[in-house]
Amino acid sequence: MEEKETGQKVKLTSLELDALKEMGNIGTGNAATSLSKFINKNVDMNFPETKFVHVSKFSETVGGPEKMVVGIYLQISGEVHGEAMFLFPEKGAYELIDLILSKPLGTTKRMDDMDKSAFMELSNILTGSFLNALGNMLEAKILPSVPHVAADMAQTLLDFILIKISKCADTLLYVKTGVNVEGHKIDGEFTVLFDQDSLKKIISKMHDKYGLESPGA
Amino acid sequence: MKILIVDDSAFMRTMIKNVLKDGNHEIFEAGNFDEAVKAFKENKPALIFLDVIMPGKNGVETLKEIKNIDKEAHVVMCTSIGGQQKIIDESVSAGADDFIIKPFKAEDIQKVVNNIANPAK
Repeated sequence: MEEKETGQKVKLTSLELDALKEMGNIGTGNAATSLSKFINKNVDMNFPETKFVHVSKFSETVGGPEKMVVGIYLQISGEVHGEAMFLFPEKGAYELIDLILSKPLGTTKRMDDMDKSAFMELSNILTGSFLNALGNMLEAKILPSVPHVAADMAQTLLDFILIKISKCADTLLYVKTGVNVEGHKIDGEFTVLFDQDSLKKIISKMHDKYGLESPGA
Repeated sequence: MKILIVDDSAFMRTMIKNVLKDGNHEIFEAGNFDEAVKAFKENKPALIFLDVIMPGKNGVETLKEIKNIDKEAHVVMCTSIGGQQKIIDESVSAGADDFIIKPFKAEDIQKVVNNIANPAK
């Protein structure tokens, strides 16, 4: 079977790579469902763009190193270990806060304590539903840490996790999608990475649970 | 039973195929709208598992085309977005038989197949 060089320090077959991408898509879809329930509005999700991105290209991928974003960062523990981050363009994040707090869109220009609290709650829900979907897929206990929320330039937020990233992988699994909340489009991006042992464990579970062909078969 | 699995993800197709492999079914696969319509016309499957979110024409458009060809076709929509009411409404209007939410369990797939195979039960 064909093996793909993804930049991950673990070589993956094309089917394993597809399985990881689908994991990202399903997790994002479940997070969108939770968002819909949380804000009590219909949420449509666009077709997600899912790929592996080298860390050196990441800030470009999210719109440039100086782009202002609001990030939700958390650590993944339990049976697998890694890091995860949701990124929203600043405008989109503020619009989400308006929706959560039932304010007219465009009201929020910067986050006060109530806004931060609301966004933190949203973060818990999005990250929890994403990781819950992953846990169900893998039949594994996956636990999120308390998420951290920060508004800053994309590169600054990336630098925050670069040290952790370089220890486990050169690339991030990256999912970009847009949600449409009652006709209003909000873009969002999600990245996740696992350490090498965890990635091997995930692939092994995928083989055991779903009967994927073994590498080299 | 002839079963068609339509999903742009080869992994998801493999996953469903593996759940069904012991059931003496004839399985066909398609990765997009065009392949799905072609496979449906050629093989006349008794059941179709159809992914909602696909590049190009999505699952709802594929459902409508399949129902145009045969309004009795049994189609189960597969989605990770349970709260996407518009798609659910459109799919139900277009004649979808059922929904399963990703990530699903093997039992969810088998239950759907049993329901189609034994409609009176």
